[in-house]
Amino acid sequence: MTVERFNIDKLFEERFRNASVRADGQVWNRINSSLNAAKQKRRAAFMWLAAASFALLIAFGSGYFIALNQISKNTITAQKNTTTGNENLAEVTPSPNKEITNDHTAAVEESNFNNPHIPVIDKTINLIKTIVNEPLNPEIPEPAEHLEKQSHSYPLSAKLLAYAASIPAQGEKLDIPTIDFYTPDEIGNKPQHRGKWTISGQAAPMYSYRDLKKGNGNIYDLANNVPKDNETRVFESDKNYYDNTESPLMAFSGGISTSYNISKRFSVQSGLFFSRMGQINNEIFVIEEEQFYGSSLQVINSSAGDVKSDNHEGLLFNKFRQSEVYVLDESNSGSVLYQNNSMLVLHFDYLEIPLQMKYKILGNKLSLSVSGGISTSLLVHNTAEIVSDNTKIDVGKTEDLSSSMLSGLVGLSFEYKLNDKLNVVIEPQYRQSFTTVNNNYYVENFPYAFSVFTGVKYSF
Amino acid sequence: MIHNLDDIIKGCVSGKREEQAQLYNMFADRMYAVCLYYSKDQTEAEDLLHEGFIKVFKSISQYRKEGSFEGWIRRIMINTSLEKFRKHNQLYPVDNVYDYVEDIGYEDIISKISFDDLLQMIRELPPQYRMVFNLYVMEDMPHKEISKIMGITEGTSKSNLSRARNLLQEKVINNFGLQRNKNKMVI
Repeated sequence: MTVERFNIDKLFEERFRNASVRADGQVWNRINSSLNAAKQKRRAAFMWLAAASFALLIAFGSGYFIALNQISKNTITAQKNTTTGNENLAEVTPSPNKEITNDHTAAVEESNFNNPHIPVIDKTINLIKTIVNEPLNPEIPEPAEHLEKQSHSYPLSAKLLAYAASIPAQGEKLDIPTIDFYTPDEIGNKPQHRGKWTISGQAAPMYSYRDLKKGNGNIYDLANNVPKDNETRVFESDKNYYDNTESPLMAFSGGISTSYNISKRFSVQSGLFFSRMGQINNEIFVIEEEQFYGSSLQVINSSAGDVKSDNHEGLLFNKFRQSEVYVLDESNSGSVLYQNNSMLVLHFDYLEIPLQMKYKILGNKLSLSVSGGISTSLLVHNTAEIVSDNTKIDVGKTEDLSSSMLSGLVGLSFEYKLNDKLNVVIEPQYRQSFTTVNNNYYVENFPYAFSVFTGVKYSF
Repeated sequence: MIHNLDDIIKGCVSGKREEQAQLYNMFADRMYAVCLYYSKDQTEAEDLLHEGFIKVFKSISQYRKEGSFEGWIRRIMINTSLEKFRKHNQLYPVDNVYDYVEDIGYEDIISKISFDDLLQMIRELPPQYRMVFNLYVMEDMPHKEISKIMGITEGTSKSNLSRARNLLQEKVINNFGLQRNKNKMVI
């Protein structure tokens, strides 16, 4: 279809069609600065990712080695459970009395951490008393450091211990009360397990929404020469529109975290989480731009950016028209409004690496801590769906989202101790992004979220 | 070092600043002229040029070599202008088609009026009239398409175009002391 031409049209067409006007050199400088800023932003995101990954690696690596050390300390106990009294006792070399005495006490110390084995160790000690034919002196103090060093020499074979464990009633005949081997402090005060490391799995429903702030550029009304009050007016007008037509999204988050107890009260925590954030647009404004752009392009506007369909096989426009759910508002054709109890749901999926400090305020069995820190989020997926009562249509994704975000975290942590190693954790948490969810958009969209994580924590 | 356009595009896809600068230098002046008649003033045109080229560099990997590269850049500039227009201009329907009466002869005016004169006149139009006039006259876009991308009815688009023509014609006649021709009335 050709357009009609009049003289006034021809006049403008003639002068404008191939016109060329020298642009101010400052424009390129601004473009150059914008490109540099975008590059630096990507580099910063990469550095954050690398640093967070390194911290995580160190955290897990250290935890692994410490866990290994814990296991080797407990080996003697494990061996007691797996060996029998039929082993070859010829391998056993009797040791000097003093050394044996120390080792007996070490065995008792070990048994203290493993309550079910106490009777076995008692029998062992009684048997050893028989072997050395000398009553042990319960008065000898045994410093913990000394015991730890001795425990690595194992002058008395574990096989002997196992053999002793297999002989019933020996201890009873000797009639030596096993309580004598505890120091006065230990009587009635069983040492508690104090693992430095913890690992936990947590999940939470997440109330997700955003703050809108005025951007610093990318809009002609915000140019330097435009009065300040005009900038504010334009932004406030758009902000009001978005605030009236958009609403929060109930999403979720979940993942694993590990923490290291620096002291009795302070701990540092990191982890890896998947978080779905986003928002809802209750008014869906669709613009179809097929022929003008030479491809099937539809745009739905939101405060997070424009949602563009990636469906090149059929226009969103037609898709809706064929649906009985959505209504084409013919009163404003061209600018198509579909409103029939439907909403646009934007999902922004992130992998998050938080780094938090936690301070324990009070409690033992039930404890309360406060926490604060930062979280680096990497965008892994983003979707836009139009959702009605029973229908869900994928309409593409939000354009120009930032590949990463940096957020601040504050929260509380309630922990209930199930036993020495297991805790139930409930953690209300508020997060506020310091960076925008979108690039190059004059309305800056800062996501925030409130969540209540629940999970189980294991200490080791 | 001067490269051909294909090499420059490849360099831009790789994010090389030297090639980006060359591409900008190659097209900036022509695109700035486009931005000027889609904008209300020079500042707005420069912002449009800035934002348009940022989009060009960000999306250059999507250029499919269907049609001229200059046409592709030009569409991005106009797209950027349209986005701003949609966000910052309240559209109002004017469904009654306004009459346009051709009162001037082409030969009378073409030699007397410069680019800057026309630029001044088109900038004085209301934004919606200016946008419709530009899309129709400069982009050869039919009213049906204009109505879709601007979110107005076809009747409003036709009416806006007629009003824009009348306003521009009045300015031409008044500013350059032309005599009115008594031609036919056109709807």
